[in-house]
Amino acid sequence: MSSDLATDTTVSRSMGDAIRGDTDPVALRSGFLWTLSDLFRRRPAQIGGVIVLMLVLAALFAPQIAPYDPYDIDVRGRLQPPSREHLFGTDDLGRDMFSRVIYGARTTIQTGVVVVMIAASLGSVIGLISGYYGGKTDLSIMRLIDILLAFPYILLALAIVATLGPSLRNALIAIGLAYVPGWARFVRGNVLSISKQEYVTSARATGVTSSRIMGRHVLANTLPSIIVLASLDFPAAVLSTAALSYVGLGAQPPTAEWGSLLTGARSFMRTAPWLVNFPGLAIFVTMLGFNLLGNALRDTLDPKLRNR
Amino acid sequence: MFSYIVRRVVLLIPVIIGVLTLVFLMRALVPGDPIEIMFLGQVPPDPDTVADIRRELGLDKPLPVQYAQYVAGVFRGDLGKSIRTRRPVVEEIRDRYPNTLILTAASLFVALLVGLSMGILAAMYKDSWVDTTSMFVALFGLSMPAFWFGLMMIQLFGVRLRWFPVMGSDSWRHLVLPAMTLGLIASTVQARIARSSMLEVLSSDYMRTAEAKGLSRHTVVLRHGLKNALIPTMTILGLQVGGLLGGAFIIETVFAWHGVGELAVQAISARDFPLVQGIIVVVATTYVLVNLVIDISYRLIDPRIEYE
Repeated sequence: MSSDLATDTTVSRSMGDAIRGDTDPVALRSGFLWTLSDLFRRRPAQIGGVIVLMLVLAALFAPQIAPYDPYDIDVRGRLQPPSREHLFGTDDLGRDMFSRVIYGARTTIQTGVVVVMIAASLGSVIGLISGYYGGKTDLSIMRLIDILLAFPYILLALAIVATLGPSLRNALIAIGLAYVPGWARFVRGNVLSISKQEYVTSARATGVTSSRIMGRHVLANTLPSIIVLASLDFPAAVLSTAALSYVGLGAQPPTAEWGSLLTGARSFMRTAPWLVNFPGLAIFVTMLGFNLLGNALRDTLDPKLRNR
Repeated sequence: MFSYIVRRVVLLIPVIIGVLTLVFLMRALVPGDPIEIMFLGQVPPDPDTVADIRRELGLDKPLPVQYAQYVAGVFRGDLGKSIRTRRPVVEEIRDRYPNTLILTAASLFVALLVGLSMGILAAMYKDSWVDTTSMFVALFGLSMPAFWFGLMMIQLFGVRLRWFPVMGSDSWRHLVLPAMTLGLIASTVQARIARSSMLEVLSSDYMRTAEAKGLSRHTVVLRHGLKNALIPTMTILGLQVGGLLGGAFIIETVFAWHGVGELAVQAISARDFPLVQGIIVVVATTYVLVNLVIDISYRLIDPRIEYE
């Protein structure tokens, strides 16, 4: 995957170099590294990158970072305000909120990855087929997609959760599937414009098979757009899952998930506001990080998408 | 124009049928016996009651017959009976739907008012602190989980300042916090669009002419600029209504605002399928109709837009 990306960005590299007169030898080493160094030259990407890195580290080393077991109940130490022993205080069952928020990072990453994988893989396959084969296949697929897009996507997700039953796993499937129509239409649009390029016509003229053209030319050239859309959908997926969990249709107690941590907190808003503040802040900062990074990635990889 | 409207209305038919089919499949695709799932975790009712419910839902007939009966029922205005309350779904929705529409409309009003002012000011004073601040706010809005923002509103205006009630839907005072929550978050999207379209308009020739005629800057911006910058705003209005309707599902639960969103969340938790299906049909239909009205009205605003 990375080698395809590298070949693709070679062109833009030389163009970028010509514009900026950039001769940094490290940046020239490969297209992929060039993209990365160009990305992290942007201040928002740096801030976003640090936040995302912290999230990943928190998820990876949760057992080492968290001072307590996130599921350990201690009724005598319930509803303690933040202190040195309990940085974020304790909840109504005496569980350490800091540990629960740290473990929540694991759920969050899992959420984003699973949803984007479902949406991107299914959506890309449908979009590729529809865009590449065109004709009746395209027409019937797109009719169906239009009908699905007639639902506000959270409604579609709710319908799927209602069918499968409320749980974190089902919420992830539901949100992933709810994103599929948007992905399919997006990939199809890309495929249509790429299929009209001369290099695809010439590949076909030289007798290259359809599946090879799809993989080597169409998919490879759609990849930057796919990466950008994935990076923007990741935080959106996390937000939707947290929202579903908050209303009780996603992660179920006692799972340490940021949305469901807020569910119980509402009743203690007067007496223990820290229960509401910290999990919400964790979601907000994470979203900020991903959005900063995603926007910068979009500007670097695919400036055409800027106004989407 | 007239033929355009007729065509759009005719095109609604397959979409509505698609929505009905999907909603019907929702129940048909439920893994396992739907009645068993309805009473999951409860004392199972006696076999006679189960048989009654099965007959009442038409589950004893083959799927195509069930489908035909379902669609026929919907066109007669019969959406079945709620399993939980034993009342007709149509009545349940009729009691609740006005509240959801009020909340959506009020949020849209807030979103347009705040978003347009923010975007226009940002464009007029491009690169000044006004611009920077409003784009920062827009980024924050993109990253803010609506339900947490709602909880923060409750904490500040409900618990600390005691300005507004935080639960229920009895008066306009109850409407303020949920409408602000949804509207302010949606306004950030509006602000970005308004800013970029305003910038485009401000640099156009007719704006320069207007200014050269000696008209004051405010007249130019408000009389000529605003009108043209409104069109891109209109095109995303449909998406916004969808977003607000979807957002209402979560925010209604946060504020115990008695609309169909809150009802749907309760119905999904209680596995009250007929009620969930009914709500989805009604909300999706509303969304489709609203989008139709918006599409037609921006053709009225901008006669340059041609439809094939």
